[in-house]
Amino acid sequence: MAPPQQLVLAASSADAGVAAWDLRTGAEAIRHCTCASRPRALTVVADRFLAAAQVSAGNSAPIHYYHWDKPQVAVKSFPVEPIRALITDPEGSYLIGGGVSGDIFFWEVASGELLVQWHAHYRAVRCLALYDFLLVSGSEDGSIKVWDLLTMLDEQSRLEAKTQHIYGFNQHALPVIDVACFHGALAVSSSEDRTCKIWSLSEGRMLRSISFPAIIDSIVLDPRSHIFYAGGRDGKIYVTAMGVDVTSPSSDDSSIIGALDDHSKAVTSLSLSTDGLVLISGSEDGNVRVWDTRSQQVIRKFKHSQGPVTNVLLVTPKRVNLPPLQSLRKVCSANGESESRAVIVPQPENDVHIAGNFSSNFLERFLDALQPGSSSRLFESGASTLYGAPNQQGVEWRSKYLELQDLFVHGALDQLPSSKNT
Amino acid sequence: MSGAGGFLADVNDPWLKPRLLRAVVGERLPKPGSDLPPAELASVLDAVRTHGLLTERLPGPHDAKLAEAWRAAVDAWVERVGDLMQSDLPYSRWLGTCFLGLTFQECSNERFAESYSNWFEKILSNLQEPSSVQLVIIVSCTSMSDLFVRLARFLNLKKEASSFAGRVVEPVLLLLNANGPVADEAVDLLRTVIKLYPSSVNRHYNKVESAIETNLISSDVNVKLKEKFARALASLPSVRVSEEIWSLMIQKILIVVNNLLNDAFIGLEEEKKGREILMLLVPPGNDPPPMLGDQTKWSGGNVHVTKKFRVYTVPTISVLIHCCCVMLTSYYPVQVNVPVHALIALTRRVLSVDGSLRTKLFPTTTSLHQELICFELPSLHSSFLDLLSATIKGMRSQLLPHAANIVRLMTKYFEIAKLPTMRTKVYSIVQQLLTSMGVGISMHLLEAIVSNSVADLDDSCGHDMTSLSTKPTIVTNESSSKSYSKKRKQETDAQNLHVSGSEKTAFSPKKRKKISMSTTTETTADVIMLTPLSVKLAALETLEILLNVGGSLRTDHWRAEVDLLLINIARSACDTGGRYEYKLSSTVGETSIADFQLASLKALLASFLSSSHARPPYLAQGIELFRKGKLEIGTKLAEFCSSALLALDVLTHPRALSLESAVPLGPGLTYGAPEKAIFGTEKYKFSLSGNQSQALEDDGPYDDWLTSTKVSEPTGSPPKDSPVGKEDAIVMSQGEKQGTHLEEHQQTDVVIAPAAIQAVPTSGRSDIEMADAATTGTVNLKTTDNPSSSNAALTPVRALLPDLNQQVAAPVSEEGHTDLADLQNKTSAVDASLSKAVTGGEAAPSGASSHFMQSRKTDDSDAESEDSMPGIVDGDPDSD
Repeated sequence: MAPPQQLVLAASSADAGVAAWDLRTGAEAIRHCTCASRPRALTVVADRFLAAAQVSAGNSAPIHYYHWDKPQVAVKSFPVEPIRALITDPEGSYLIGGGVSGDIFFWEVASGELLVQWHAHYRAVRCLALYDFLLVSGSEDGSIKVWDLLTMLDEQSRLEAKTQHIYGFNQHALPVIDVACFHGALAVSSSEDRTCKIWSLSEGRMLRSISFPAIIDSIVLDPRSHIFYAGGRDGKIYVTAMGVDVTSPSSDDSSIIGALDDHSKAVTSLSLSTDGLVLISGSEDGNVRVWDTRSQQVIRKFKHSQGPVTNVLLVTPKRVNLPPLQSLRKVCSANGESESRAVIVPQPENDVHIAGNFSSNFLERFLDALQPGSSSRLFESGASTLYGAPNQQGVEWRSKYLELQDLFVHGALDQLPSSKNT
Repeated sequence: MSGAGGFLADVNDPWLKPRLLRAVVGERLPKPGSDLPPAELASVLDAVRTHGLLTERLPGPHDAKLAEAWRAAVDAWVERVGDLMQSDLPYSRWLGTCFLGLTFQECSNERFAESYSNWFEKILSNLQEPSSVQLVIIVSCTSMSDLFVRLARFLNLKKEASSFAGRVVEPVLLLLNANGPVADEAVDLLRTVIKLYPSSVNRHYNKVESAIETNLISSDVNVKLKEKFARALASLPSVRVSEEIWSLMIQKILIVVNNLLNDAFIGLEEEKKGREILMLLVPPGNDPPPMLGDQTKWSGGNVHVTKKFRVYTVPTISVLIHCCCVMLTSYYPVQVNVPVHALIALTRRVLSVDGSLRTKLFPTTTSLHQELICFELPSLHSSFLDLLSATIKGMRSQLLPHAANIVRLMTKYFEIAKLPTMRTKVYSIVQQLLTSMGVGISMHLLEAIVSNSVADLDDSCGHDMTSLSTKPTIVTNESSSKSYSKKRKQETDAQNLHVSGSEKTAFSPKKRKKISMSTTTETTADVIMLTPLSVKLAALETLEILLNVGGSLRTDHWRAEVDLLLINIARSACDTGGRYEYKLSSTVGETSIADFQLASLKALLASFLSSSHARPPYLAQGIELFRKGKLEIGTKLAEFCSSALLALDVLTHPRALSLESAVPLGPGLTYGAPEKAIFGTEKYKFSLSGNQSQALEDDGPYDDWLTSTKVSEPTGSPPKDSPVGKEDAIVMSQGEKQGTHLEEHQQTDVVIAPAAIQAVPTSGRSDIEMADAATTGTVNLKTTDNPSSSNAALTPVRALLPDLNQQVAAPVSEEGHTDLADLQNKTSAVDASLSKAVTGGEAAPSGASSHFMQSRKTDDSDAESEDSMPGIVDGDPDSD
């Protein structure tokens, strides 16, 4: 079976659509038309379909859904305000959007219901990230806040909680641009103050701050969590160590252990394959580059458009039989609860035939029961019935019959202890 | 290669197989009408399977002669089996069908494709013949499902297979109403057909549904069989590719369950609850779905009312809920909508009934009724806990909007759940929640898990204080010194008005446990008194998952307590285990001591690995346990222990780099920046009296400088104080045993010096260590005016001053509660360190503690520093 197709997606803030290239062949697979998105506004819903928040054109800034194989927009939704940052959870159950007013919107994908909306920041939400169900939001006002979605989704908990967010970090002096989370409850944020900061989400404090020679527009974490890539406005992608070597406590410049330098303009967006070997970068120069992270060489180059590339993604599309997509609601319904919908999504791999051992395999069980030792009692009584007791000759068949019955009942059916014998 | 005759080359000679098969057919396989003793039957089956006599799989180059010989032998086998099946005698027919089933499994693809339709007809005739003996029907059902399973692998025969499947459905439907064993196998066959060839059942959908429903509510069907019927019903929606059919079915089931509950819970809950749930199931304006099954049968017949509840209501609810569980956890060809609100509301409804009366004056509520319900309540609760568990499994992240609701429900239910099975189930649900929702939910569940599992695990060891004297003095000393320190801590805590109820109550059992840890619970009386092992096991597993998921979260509240508990449990489990394992493994049923040992070590490993940024307090003891466990060769324990040691390798030889910069950029510095100078000067004084350890000299001034910043670190460190304190206490007690202060000092030095080194890359727990280090003089501080340290200290401080302000201000304005906790922890940390400073060695100048005090006062409130005063006074007697 051929390895699943991997697509490199790129979107621009100028309207040039979402381009999708096959990573292996390098051919452009499809271009989804009409899409102009700000950075961090393009997301893949559990590999099933694509969602992109549009820059505001006129008085509307819709969110578009695209199916993998159709170039046109599948569904348009019109949220109450332009959405700057859009993410989904790993299972694709929810879409979370950060608005220009600083509000965060939480939609359920299956029903399109707006489950909750809250005012998170004083200014626009620039970036969002999820760690389990902790939501990290970074804003133009320079603050990063960590939200527990469990609390936010439950009215009672919301009322009980003293503050809505669990942590608020104000160490960034200027707008926060990007944030990424990784296991071990770590978050890395970048800001216009030319630093990246590493946060512990479990302890709620900053662990490190790393200064960069340029503003970092995009961060992506290596799956092994020991380095991260930071795309700078100077066109370089800085390879940065997460940990520090305590034996050489010099300046934190030592954290930057290398740079990938090929873009002529700011690197706006980064995406890493799940194995950490392929890095995709999108730049304001309109190009998308694919890097081999081991050799640090560009292995592919795609030209998206004249306009700046704002989003790149590396995805493995999962083509399943989707029910019609629901457009996202503008406001929370008054009786939102009854409208929300949970679904069991069909699993494509479940369509294959069940294995033979799935069905009750009588003979196997029968044999098990007949293995020496497991039914010694049976053999003993069997011997006596068949050979030992002459006075039972007349009822030999009958007793053997019962005995076999017993065998079924015990060994094969695992129930009904000798219902027939009693 | 030998030919058809003569000697074989060896056991692998392919000629063996046809020969053997011929021999089996000729000599051992009975002819129609003759008998075969069961042992002989087993050996025939065994021979066929072991040697693969029917496979006709030729090894190596094609050998026409061999192939022909083998084919002929298999032909003979098939023919004989056919003869057996044609026989009039039930026994022969039974035997024939058995062997035919074996043939399906074993024979080559070509042979199967060639003759499957022939075989199908034979078996079908068995099924359809009304005169067939029960046993023959049973074995025909199984053989038939084997046939379909094998047939399903032939994709090119799909069409024929579907039509065959369609022909089977009707006879099977008739068999469903037969008695126990026949119906049992018939259901299995039906499920196989539904799974493999859903379209063939489509035509009979309604008939199948009603046949299953009839059986579900019939009171003469036993529980196991009913569950099988329930599973068949659950798989039925996959027959029709439509999302409504699934929703309709679960809606119907839930309505029936709700109605049954209405009758059952009269007087035990508010009356309107049933109607509310019905509203969720059938939104106003919608037509209610048709009733499940035959309406008239839902009354339960004319059983007496007292009996009805036991024999009809509860079993029916259980089996219907079981059906829901299966429906929720299986996949269907289309996306289906789950009425998750109704499911949770229904679960909540049942789980909140605790048997107490709500409306006392309700006319029909009699004490008898209440008694009946209380009698059946555990099984009802159990069913609905299963339902909740299935909901969590099926809905996964989609449950997020309801998660807070479920957390509240579970927290409350922990109080009701006293029976072992219930508790185990609650724990397993909590585990599922933790795994599916991750760190977010662990914050909400933390308190409930810790308090409940501590309660469950603690009482296990808490009752035999008498055997204290039987154990070596180390332990006694250890425990007594520990109880001193604990008392002290308790007092100061009490003054700080912070200690939560659970924490307080946890103290005494812990003390007792500490003592009894060394003792083995050997008398049978003790064993009986214990919390059931299964519950403790579940509690341990839950703690393990909690540590895995949210181990570094809000550590100040709970980690110290849990870490201590886990090391104690593991030690006591492994103490007793060696002997108990052999003694009890045969008698103890589901949960053996070995399982418990394994669970305790697993939880211990989780506690080690999840310690955030710090070396876990009981690592040494834990490693010893793992080492010992590794020696139990051949057990799961040994397997786990070796992998645990591997996992701990990272902790013992830190290869990973610390995330925290050695350069003071963390808030820890900013928080306590002003104090540093003071500490520095103090330490300078210490260093006059202290002897500098060799190990630390390499790191130079930087090192102590780092330590001094960490003292003032606001987060992370407080929780660790008691574990570290205990470690010290152990060290001390060992010292006491040895008798002289000199020795004690030396020993302490030896132990603590490495600890101080370890603390350098870590962030959290260092203030205590620092205190120890200071008093024992191991901290090497050469000068305060060391240019590198002061410079490094001052510049970043200035640079980060805005951060400092924010950091300090933020907790006050936004997180009042955590702030309070922080303050409290800080003081207790100070107390602990102070008392240790005093107890740790007389060499510590009295000035040291006062300096500590002053430094604390700079940022803590006055009240707190007053609190810490008694800590010192209290600590004094301890040092002797």
